[in-house]
Amino acid sequence: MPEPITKVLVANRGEIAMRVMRTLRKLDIPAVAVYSDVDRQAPHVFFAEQAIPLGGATSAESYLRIDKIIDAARKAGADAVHPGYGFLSENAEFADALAEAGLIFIGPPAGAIRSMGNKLSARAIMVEAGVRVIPGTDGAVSDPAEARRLAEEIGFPVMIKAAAGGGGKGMRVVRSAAEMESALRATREEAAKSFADDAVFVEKYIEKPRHIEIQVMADTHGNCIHLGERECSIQRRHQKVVEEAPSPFVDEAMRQAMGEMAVQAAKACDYVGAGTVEFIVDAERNFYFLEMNTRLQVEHPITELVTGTDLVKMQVDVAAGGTLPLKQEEITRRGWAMEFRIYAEDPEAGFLPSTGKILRLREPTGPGVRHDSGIYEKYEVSVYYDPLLSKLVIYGYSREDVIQRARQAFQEFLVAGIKTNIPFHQWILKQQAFVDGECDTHFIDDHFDPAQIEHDPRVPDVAVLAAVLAYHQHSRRINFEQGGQADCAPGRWRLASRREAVMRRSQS
Amino acid sequence: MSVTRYIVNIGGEKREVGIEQVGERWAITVDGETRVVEQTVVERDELFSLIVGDHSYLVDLVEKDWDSGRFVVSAIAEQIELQVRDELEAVADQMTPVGMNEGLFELKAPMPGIVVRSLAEVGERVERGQGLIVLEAMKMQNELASDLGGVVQEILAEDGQMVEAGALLAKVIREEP
Repeated sequence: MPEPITKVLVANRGEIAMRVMRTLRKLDIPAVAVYSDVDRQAPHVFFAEQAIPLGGATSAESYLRIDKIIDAARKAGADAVHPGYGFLSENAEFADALAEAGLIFIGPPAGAIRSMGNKLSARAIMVEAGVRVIPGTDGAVSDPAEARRLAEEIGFPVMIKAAAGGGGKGMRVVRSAAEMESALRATREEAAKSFADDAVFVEKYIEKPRHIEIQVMADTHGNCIHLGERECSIQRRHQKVVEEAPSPFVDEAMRQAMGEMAVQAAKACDYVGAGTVEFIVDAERNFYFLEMNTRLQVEHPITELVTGTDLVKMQVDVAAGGTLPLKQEEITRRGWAMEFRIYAEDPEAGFLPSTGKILRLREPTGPGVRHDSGIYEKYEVSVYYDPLLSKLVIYGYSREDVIQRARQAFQEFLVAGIKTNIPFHQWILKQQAFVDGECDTHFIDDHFDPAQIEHDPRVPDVAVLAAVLAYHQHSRRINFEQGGQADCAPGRWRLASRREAVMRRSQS
Repeated sequence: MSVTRYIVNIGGEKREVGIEQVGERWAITVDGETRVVEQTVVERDELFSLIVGDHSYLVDLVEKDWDSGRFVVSAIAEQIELQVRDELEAVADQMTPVGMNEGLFELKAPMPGIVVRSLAEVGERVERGQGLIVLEAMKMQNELASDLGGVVQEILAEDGQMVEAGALLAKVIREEP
């Protein structure tokens, strides 16, 4: 039997550091927090048993510093490190450095991170393992006749993509052979201009794509299971906003096929721990491997809720050399879950990030409400890190029940002092396409209009009453303190000073 | 007991309010409509429970500035800004010269961030809605636009500079025809 883990350094911040530490506390394993100078007042620092400063403000100066994190783990006497998501979670050098320092990485082997981190090598491994990938060319294409031939082989419509591209640039949809020559020339010119590399490749274009992913979990004894799918099609500019499990689009046969393919993918890269295999799914329910995320996902709670598992506990157990506690046939699903990501951004002002002090926080509660949060009242949201504040995760017995519970929960969710995307979530929960489970990944970019955000008409009325009352009472108090009479409106001192102000202004 | 009158500016509209204490409760008239309000102070100047007629609301004074009468109030999990003035203050406010700044747009940083680059040069003619400065905050780049068509008079931000919320970044003046 391998040595148990006795103390874990959590190399992260925000809600995920809190999430991981909660499971550690449950397991009676002391947690060590690390923090940047800016994060001295972040909640994960208060929550942990030990806290070690990393210094610096930016991620590059703090949470991305492998050397500082290893020093902190040594100093605190930790024997394992949990990376959370983001930061160093998918950094193979970090996994190597920890191994060299004799520390356990609660994550996959460095080799799996490396092979899945590069899109081309990941694709090659998956093709080799018989996992279906988006049909396309493996190398660069420059000759229009060759591109036409390949496109006909793949089937129109196709997408021409810059090999060095990203962020939606250097891409063109081609719907027929006639469009190929000019589209190829234009994409290559754009690629050369934007990325100084005119290499392009041809790939099948997926219309009305959905993003559906499978959670996998593997141990060091050759066991690998999947825990069903998560639907992540509600995205804004490639950033997930709402996720749900199960997917309203996936039936049992498809779930089983996707699950088996995900397990195959994990085995192909000798995976260990929690991982996610992302698929792109077309309108005809064909699914293609997109990429594998070699870490715990932001949206893991919805899988936990519908399968009744604790994925962080499984990660810790597997990292300590234990065997998976469940066999594939023991994984059952019950009910429905949705996650709503709460971002510090203003949906009514082009999703501009919002920073500042949280002046009021009232969190929703009640049946089926889980709030994984990295904030508290009076906490100052800084400019330095990701705008994800928390995740509202709703569980219910059916999809309809979850939507009703979510609408209700948002009505009691108050975050004041900064702007959040809560009004956006209230908008999406009212969209018929969303209620019907019919959204593809373009839905928000195509349909969201800030003017459609509804405001409760009672709010201005109540606000006027409350503010006038408060102002009136405050004025009377001031008058009383200045020797006036409490029950008579503006005292003489105040009146005199006001008259003076009026005179001054009228003269200027 | 007499009625005290206030003017409330909310959402670009003015509401005329009269308030009078009636026993333990308040009679508040907004634009001619009177409602009876029972107020329980949970925390002074901070948190109130109001029962209006028989409708119950929990109300937060999230932000307040007694001198200017400006408030951010939250009720039913929404927030709204408003300004309360008594009659004299309303008169004083009207005396403030207005229109002086109509031909000038001052671009201020809506949040702390790092200036990535400016998109316009001093002397350049810009349209309303045209980007002036790219500001990076929370790993995201945001284009800050001019609210006025005119000529860039000043760019006060340097590339790579860290700025606080409210910092003046650029000035645009209306171009004389």
